[in-house]
Amino acid sequence: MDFEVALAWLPRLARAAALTIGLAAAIFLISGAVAMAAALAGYGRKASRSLYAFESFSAFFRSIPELVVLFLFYFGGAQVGIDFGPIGSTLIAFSLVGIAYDYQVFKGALTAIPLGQMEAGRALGLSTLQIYRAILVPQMLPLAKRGWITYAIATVKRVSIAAAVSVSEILYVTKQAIAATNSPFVFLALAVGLYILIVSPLLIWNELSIGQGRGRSMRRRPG
Amino acid sequence: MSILANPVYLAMIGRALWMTLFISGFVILASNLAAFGLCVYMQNPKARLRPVVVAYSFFARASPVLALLFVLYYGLPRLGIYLEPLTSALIGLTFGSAAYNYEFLRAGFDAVPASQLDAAKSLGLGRFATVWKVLTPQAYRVAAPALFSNAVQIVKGSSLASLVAIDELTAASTTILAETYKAIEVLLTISLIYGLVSAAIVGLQYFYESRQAWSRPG
Repeated sequence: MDFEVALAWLPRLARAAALTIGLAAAIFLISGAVAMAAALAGYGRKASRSLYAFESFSAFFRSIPELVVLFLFYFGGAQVGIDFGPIGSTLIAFSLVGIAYDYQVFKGALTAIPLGQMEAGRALGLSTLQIYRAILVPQMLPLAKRGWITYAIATVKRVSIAAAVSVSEILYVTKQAIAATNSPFVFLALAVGLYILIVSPLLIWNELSIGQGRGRSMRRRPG
Repeated sequence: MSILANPVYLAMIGRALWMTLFISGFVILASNLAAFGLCVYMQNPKARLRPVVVAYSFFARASPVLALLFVLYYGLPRLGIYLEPLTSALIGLTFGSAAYNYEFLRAGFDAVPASQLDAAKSLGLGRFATVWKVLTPQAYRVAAPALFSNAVQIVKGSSLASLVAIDELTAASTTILAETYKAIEVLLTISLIYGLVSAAIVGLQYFYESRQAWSRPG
């Protein structure tokens, strides 16, 4: 019986999963692009007012709960007369949170690249854009990959919080299904299964990249 | 900040802050203890439940905390288990963050060079002394930044408890918001409080790291 019930809800769950993936992908792209641009722009600069402003932006959005950030746009927008809507608020709020985290990842990766490389590029007469594209980004990406993927996984899971402002993503539909059918375990198992399905490729890709880069410490097990 | 001038709201936020601090404190403590236990257990090459721990870590890190909270909140009553909302929130949040702490601490344990174990063996140290005196202090030194960051994540994650009927800081903010319609004011005040709690944890981390730098030989 539970099986038939679950089957009836499957199309709705599939749409919800598509929405989760779509939102997470959009947030991932926006935050990755903005954070990368900001980190590159700040590379090799002395402490300036704009750099300081971006650091405090990043600190702010990393230190308050995502749910509160979401409410800030969902309810706060309404207060000043801008209706972002549930999906709009989700996109804006979680993109800002994503930028805050991704910025730290890219900034950290860039510190590992010697400043002389940029100067060498300058000496060769490359434009700033060429230096970014040909010198900095190709070196930065492998270093940033692990942290970036980790935060991409966090983004997928973070979208579940949007259920609180009635975005019909996986967890929201799951909640509806539980209310309608009174079989919580079937639907929660389905929901968690869907998340695992979405996140697994990222998680596995991340695990595989351990061996590269820094390398694993050589040690035997005790005993 | 005028909402803090209202004594009713001030008291409400005060109580809610205690709840947030209690939940965060409990989850930080419990998840770190659990992570330490799991790490020590996994040091044993004959550990039978190794696949279970690996599966738990994967499962807990792949599913959103909110889903875990819903399992406890909506699921358990179906089995005839009625937990207080607070109890189920504590269990759910601890279940989720212990997996992260376990991974961070495991990386710390893995970073201790194998030669240290040989040295411990040649000195005739037993397994307990090796783990407690040799591995643990060095593992924590490596894992500390990640563990502190996760403590900040736990404080932020406690806001999700508001969605399973716990009156903590975020829940208080939505209540006040519904009465006053001053969303920006209320939410920025709450953000500031969360920011201060996070700053306190980061301050603790700097304190810990400066002490570690002191005692570091060489």
